Amino acid sequence: MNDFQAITGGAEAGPSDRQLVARTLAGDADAFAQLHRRYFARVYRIALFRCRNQQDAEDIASETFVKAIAHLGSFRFQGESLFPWLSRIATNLALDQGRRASGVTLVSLDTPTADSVRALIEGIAGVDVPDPHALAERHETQEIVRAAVATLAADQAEAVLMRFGSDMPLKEIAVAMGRTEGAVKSLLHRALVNLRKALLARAGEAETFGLRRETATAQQQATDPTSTQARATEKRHGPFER
Amino acid sequence: MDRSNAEPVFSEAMRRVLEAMVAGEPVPPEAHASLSEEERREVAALARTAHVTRLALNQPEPTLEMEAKALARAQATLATNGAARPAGATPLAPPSRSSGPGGGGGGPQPDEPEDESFLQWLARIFGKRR
Repeated sequence: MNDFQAITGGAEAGPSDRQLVARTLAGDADAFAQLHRRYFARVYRIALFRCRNQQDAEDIASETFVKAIAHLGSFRFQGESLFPWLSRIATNLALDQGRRASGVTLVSLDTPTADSVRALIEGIAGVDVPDPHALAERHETQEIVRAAVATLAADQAEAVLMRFGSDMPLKEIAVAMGRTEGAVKSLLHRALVNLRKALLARAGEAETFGLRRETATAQQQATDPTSTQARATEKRHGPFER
Repeated sequence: MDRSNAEPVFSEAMRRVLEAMVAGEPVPPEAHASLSEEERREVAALARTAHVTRLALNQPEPTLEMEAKALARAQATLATNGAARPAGATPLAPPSRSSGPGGGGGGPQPDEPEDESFLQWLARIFGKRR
């Protein structure tokens, strides 16, 4: 992998958000459908980041657009994108509904995935590192990354979500956060440094957790007379010679 | 919860490289050339961190069914209530302060200059009412 390749995405093609909002306000339902297609997935992922539960995230994403319709007439663009506003609606809904993530990772931490994340980030030689795309498709990787982002300071996490989670240009992030582009750059690179540390820490936790789980399973198998391993041990040594 | 917010200290070259990286701009060759070997390794690790973070944060895709259901619900609301502000309504919230469901407000109202300050806006609104 080229270290500098494609860490950010491109701009939206097609009509601008301003045009689509104006057309929606004039009663053009297709224009609203375009906005919905453009942003639903991102809003869903923001909701998922906030509440870490797929059903809640689906409800919040759906409700976000209903709320947006109700308030679109009084919305005023600060930049060129509708997304920061949608993101705030989704975040507020998650908070209002008490669906904020408790900070606990809801899936079990997976040791091989954590190892792969660490190997990928650190470029560890001799370790079988999977393709980053394949790694990112694993649910466990997504959870590890979301949990790591959640450990950042609020402004750093917000910047990371907007830049890397939603491919927003720095200019738009600066407008949305009320900062200069230079300040956003600085915020983002500090966030990246902290994110790397957090990801490695999460990977370490996963490894420890996985090791404990493996040990516990092995102990359980060794003491459970019905387990395959226990039966095999008995065969070799007899029931009292473990 | 652990908050990893310690301020990292960078050399000027490192800072320029990292800022170019997060901006998606070409890395200045002279800045990259003046990085130490350790800094290069650090930059490479941070680039990979950004890459995997971006890929993971862009997952999962919502299902088509989920998206269609949400769109149908929103379209029904649009058809029933519409999205336009009632004609002649005076905005009650200041333009750049918290207003609406997003809490972030927005820019000036259509009949306001872009650079109108909060205080000027307040004065004008209250002036109108008097």
